[in-house]
Amino acid sequence: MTIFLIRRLMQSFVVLLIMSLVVFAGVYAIGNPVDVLISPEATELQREQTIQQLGLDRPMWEQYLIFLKNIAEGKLGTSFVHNRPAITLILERFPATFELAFSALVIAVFLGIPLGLWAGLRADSFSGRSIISGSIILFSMPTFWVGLLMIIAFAINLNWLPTSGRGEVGTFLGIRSSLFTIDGLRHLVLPATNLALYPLALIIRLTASGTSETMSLDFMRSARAKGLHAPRIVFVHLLKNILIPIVTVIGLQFSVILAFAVVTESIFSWPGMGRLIIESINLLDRPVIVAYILVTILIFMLINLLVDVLYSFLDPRVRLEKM
Amino acid sequence: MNRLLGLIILIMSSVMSVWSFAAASELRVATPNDPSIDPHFLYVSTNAAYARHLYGKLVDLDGDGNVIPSLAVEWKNIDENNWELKLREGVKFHDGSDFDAKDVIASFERVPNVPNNPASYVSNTNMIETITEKDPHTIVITTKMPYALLLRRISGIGIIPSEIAETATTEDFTSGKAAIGTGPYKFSEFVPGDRYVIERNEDFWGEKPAYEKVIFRIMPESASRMAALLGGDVDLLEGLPPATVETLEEREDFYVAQRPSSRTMWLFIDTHNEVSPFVRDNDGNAMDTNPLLDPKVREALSLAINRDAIVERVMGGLAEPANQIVANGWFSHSPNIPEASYDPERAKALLAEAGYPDGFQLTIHGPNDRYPNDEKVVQAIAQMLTRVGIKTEVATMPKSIYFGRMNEREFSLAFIGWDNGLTGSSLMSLSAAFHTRDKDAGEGSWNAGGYSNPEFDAAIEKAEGAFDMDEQEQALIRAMDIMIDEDKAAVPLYTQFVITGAKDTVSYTPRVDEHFSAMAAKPAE
Repeated sequence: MTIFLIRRLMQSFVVLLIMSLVVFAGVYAIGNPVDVLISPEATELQREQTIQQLGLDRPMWEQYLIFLKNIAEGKLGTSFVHNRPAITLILERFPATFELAFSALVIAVFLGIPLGLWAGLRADSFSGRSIISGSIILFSMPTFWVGLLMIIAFAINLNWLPTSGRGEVGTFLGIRSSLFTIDGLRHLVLPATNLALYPLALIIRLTASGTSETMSLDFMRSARAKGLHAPRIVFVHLLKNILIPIVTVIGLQFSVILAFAVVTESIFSWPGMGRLIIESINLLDRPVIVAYILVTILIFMLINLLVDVLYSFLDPRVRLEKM
Repeated sequence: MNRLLGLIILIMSSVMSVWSFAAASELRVATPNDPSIDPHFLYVSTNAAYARHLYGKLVDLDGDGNVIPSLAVEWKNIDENNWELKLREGVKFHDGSDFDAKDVIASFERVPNVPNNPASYVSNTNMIETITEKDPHTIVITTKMPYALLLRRISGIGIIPSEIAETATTEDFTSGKAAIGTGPYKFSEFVPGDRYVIERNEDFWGEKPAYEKVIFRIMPESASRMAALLGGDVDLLEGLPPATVETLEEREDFYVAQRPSSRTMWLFIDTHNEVSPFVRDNDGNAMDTNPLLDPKVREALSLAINRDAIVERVMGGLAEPANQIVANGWFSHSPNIPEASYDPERAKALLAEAGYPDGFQLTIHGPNDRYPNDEKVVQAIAQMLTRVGIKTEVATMPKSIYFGRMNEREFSLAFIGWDNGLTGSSLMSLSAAFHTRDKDAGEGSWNAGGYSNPEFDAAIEKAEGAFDMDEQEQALIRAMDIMIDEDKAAVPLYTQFVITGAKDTVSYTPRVDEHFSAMAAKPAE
């Protein structure tokens, strides 16, 4: 296990280094941030001075080396637009994104697994088939569009929930989150549901197909022959066996919705990291773009690591040293 | 089962419809832009608009673009280079300290020294040689050269206490610690990307604004802003897409506040390159000449465009046709230039005269995320040009790429809008966008068409050096006549309207410079 972890960390470091180079080159190619940000009144001379001040006149490799040197000193660069450290901007927005992604995942898991089980066990019934076709619809509808429909239905026409934004933030056990206030929860319902739709559909389908596959296996038959109660068969023998692919997907989906909740965050004006990256790209705020992508990669790697470790607990046949 | 469902719905709806009613003296605004709380960081018009709430300036511009006293009550010219300003007495900053000449000097000194600033306010101060304190409430501003527009330029600089100006970083402002001014509102809370809250300054020296508290909700997505307005989450909507104006006007309890703004749109024409990058002959091959160098061709471009159709059909009536690059009724608007006419037959005749009876091929470029309907306008123009024989393709791109390429003169025909609000005249647009590019003199920094005419340059330089406003106006009118009427160096299109969506309960008057101002809002009678 320890060797595994060390090897993983070293790999991660190499990936980060390579990605930083790719991102840096990509961002460099998009355009010059000064052209977007400078006021139209500025003269050519002021423009040049600004470019010089921000170090944008140096060749790309030199800028990249400076960037690496700063990282070694623990600095990820300062935002051009906000004049604050990029990493502060990202971390400041992380809790909002985290609570949104977390709530979405909770919805997806706690609805998806029971629905999937039902659909798998009753594959030929009307309800089973409706769940499966429902999940196909969830899959194929664009988040953007569903989000707008939800706003129109629940916020504008029915007036039950606020249209957008993050509500009041409460403190519980030293954690500040909008999960702890009524106002916060009311603001959270729509975006979290919207973000949950895709992973929900995925989990339903995986659970359902796993269930119907496993139910026909020999050990299930003997379990039933042994006279075990249905709940024990489903929740112990069945679940244990179908959980591995589901955990993988949940892990991957969690990193995806954490890093790329961009669409949902934009529609619902959720002040999270996804909106920060979109705005930074629009304004060519290079330090924030680079820092964001590096942080995202880090999150992906951490969650994948976590999933691998979870594997070894769920399935004793899995040995981490071999991975 | 059905009864249970009914019960659940009943409970849900009763819980959810517990409304947090907004207090009567609270104004909630949906805005697309994050503010810079630091008044001297990132000089873009939205930040200048935010700054007006917190920070007083020496003089300000009112909603119609006129210079009005603010922290300076009166001023006189000692001579052409020296201005004496009397400062308002008894003014207190939000932290209770007194305002005096030292604060002015320190604020102006901070402007060029904010680190890591991609858009400095320095273009508002670099004509100033020194500012000296005559007594605590009198200052003398000495300019490097006679500079008639000084008052308008310094209207861009927010005044902060000297102690803060000497030490505070942008971060200190963002956290609210240093966000101290003399303005009608005080800093209350700022959550980046989410909300910015300000509270009325009860000790404000002037007329107090109507609302005690203003909450800016930061929502870059226009559909979300619209939803927030319709859903009752906000009272005012900044940056209303023209396409949604109709939806809003159809609803009973909303309206659209509108007025012509100081932004005029035009097309840059490549009058510089011998071979223009996006002009092709009818077979799509590169040409060895640039037809756009011929004034007849440029006139044909203008005659081919039906401005009334653009205004009516694309802009939904929310614009006014323009025949020059400053709007009618503004200082320095030239009365000598005829109305821009639509005459496709004459355009074809001119093309034939110029030696292009069958026209040629062209690509028009424009941004797709900068101005209301920018992409649609460019498409409409392309169709109109194609109709007279100039087969035009459209290429639009995000502003982050567009403006840089435009200014490198990579386009043949390029769409742009220029806000004339700061100078209240054509001075800035003409000198920056049409004077021959000259780095050392600071002229022509946005001359993307490459226009160059010594006679025009001389007129602009005369206007810049003129201290007498009549003399300046005459020089600017002359320059506009040369550039538009004689040389046809650009195609003026229209002046756009500033539009704000509002609930019936709020009465809002937009400012001509497109700046949002909570001071211009009050509860409707």
